[in-house]
Amino acid sequence: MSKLNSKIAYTALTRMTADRAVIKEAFQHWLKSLGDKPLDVFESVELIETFLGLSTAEKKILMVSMHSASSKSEAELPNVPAFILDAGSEVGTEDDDLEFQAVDNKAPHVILSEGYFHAMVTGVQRSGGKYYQEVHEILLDEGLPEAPSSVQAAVKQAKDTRVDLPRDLNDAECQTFCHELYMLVCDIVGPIAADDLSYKAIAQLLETNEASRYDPKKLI
Amino acid sequence: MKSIIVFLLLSLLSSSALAQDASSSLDASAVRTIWLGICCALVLFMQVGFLMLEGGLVRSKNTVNVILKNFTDVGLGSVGYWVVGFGLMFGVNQSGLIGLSDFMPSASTNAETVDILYNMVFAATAATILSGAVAERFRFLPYVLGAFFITAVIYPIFGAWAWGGEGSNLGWLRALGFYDMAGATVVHSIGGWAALGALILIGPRRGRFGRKGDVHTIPGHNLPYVAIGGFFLWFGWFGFNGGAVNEDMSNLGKILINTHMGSIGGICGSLFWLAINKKGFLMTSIVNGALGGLVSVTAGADVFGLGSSLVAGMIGGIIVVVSANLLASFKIDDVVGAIPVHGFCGAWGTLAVAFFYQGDMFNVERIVAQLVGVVAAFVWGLGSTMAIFWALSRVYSIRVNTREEQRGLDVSEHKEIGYSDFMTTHTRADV
Repeated sequence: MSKLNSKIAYTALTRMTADRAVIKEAFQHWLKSLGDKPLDVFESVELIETFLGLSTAEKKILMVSMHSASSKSEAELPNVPAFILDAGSEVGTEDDDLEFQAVDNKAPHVILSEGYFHAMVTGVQRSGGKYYQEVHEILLDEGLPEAPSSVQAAVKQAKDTRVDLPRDLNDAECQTFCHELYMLVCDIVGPIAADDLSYKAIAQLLETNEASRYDPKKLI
Repeated sequence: MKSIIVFLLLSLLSSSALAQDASSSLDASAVRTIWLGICCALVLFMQVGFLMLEGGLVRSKNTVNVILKNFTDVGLGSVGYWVVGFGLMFGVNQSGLIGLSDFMPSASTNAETVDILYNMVFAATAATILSGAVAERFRFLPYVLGAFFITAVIYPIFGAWAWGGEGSNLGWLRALGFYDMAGATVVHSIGGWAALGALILIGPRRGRFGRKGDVHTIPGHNLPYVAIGGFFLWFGWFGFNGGAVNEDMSNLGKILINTHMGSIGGICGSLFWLAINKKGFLMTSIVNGALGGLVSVTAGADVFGLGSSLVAGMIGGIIVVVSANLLASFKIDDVVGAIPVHGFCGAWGTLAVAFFYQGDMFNVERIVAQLVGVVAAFVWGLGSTMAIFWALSRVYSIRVNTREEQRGLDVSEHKEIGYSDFMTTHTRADV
């Protein structure tokens, strides 16, 4: 069993639902079926979807979260609580809470901004390889001119469609980040396609748990 | 809408009948006044056409903004024209440059009163041409201030050159032999070149032109509006050109049919050009082609033969399509095609007067006079508008910032949304 892969699966499950019993059940099933294999996000999501009978929105969140978690180092991911790992233990006692809640201490606007980045860049990728290539080149060479320097560094280290933004970004900095990204995409694919991608990204973000704590529409 | 059209048609028929009845108590002057009154309504109705055409050609997030610009510039423009413009244009013009009397005019006769009203609604057309060209990024307040200056100062001064003065004190262009029946240059080109000046200052919409030179099409949100707006303009144009009828109204029929010929010529010309270029029969191009045809016969609808009107309109239709592409190649982002339709076709239509003047075609002296007028309009329209908007930009930002542009001017400038039922996904909760 890979400790990193377990952490990835656990993190993704906690993003999808807060129900401890469901998380434990799904995690144990994943552990038995795929725990010893190299992590394949699509395979893992398919497995959990079949096992739990997920809705499209839940599947989308699980997919996005697992991708996001898989781009992080082991140290950045929360430990899998003992009661989740141990098939025989009881689910959810108050003693577990501290560990259980330590999924990701980023503020919701930061997580949503990362999600916005993922959705926009994935959208560009679907629009065509040359656009995606252009976006990547510009992000690497120029970054996002108006964004804070810590964001610039994060953007230049972005892996494909994933970015790991600094935890301490405030609301306004996240808005600037998202707006700058929109402007870049607008330049590459044109405003109609950029608006379309942006609206779809917001629609996706509205279905995440973070949307209950921060309105993703504020990002644009 | 139907009742308005029926009313106008009945009024038209009744006035025609009166004109033919020698025993009627109405003399020719009264009939002309009635006709001019109908023309006032028709020209004002053109604003509905502009409003729908421009409203349809912008993205849904900017609909309120562009429609309100159209609506407001009629109000402010009319005030400016009445207070200052009429006097500059038609006041005593000893210098040949500007009139210096008849500010805030009031008239003693019915005919004069209608004439003032006709000129007021006519003037508002020049300013409204600008609104579509600069749509989706020009701030509302500087726009209406600019529109006020165009209607109160820029248009009337050129009007004084081309139409002003009496007896031996004529406007300098008029004295030169420049002829522009209903304002192909005086109204349309001035409006078109004003739009060009404003566009040079504010630049294109974000994303219209890519970093590597590619042109991104930004289609309007409601193309049926565009076609309806185009038809309304066509309808109103009978009043726009028809109001330039002579004293005894003997040339009214000629003006009206030539107006119609120009429009159908414009449709044929744009269709032909689109067909040979095999880029699809674009509705926006064909509607603009019709409008380009109308502008092309506006200067000479009373001096063209029917065939000439058709040809002038056809060439206008082609000019619309070709010049729209030309502007894009210079990265000039004209949202509705105002410069091709009003600027270029206005210039062409003014020159066409010299080429197709019935009974005196290709008169060199007339060609020179028309050419001077076209160049003067370009220099004055472009230069004065750029000066005004540049001065405004020193004290107030004339372009919205990129975040406001992204959200749309309806939200950022007006706190109102054109289609609130259909725009929920991307609308901020705090708007």
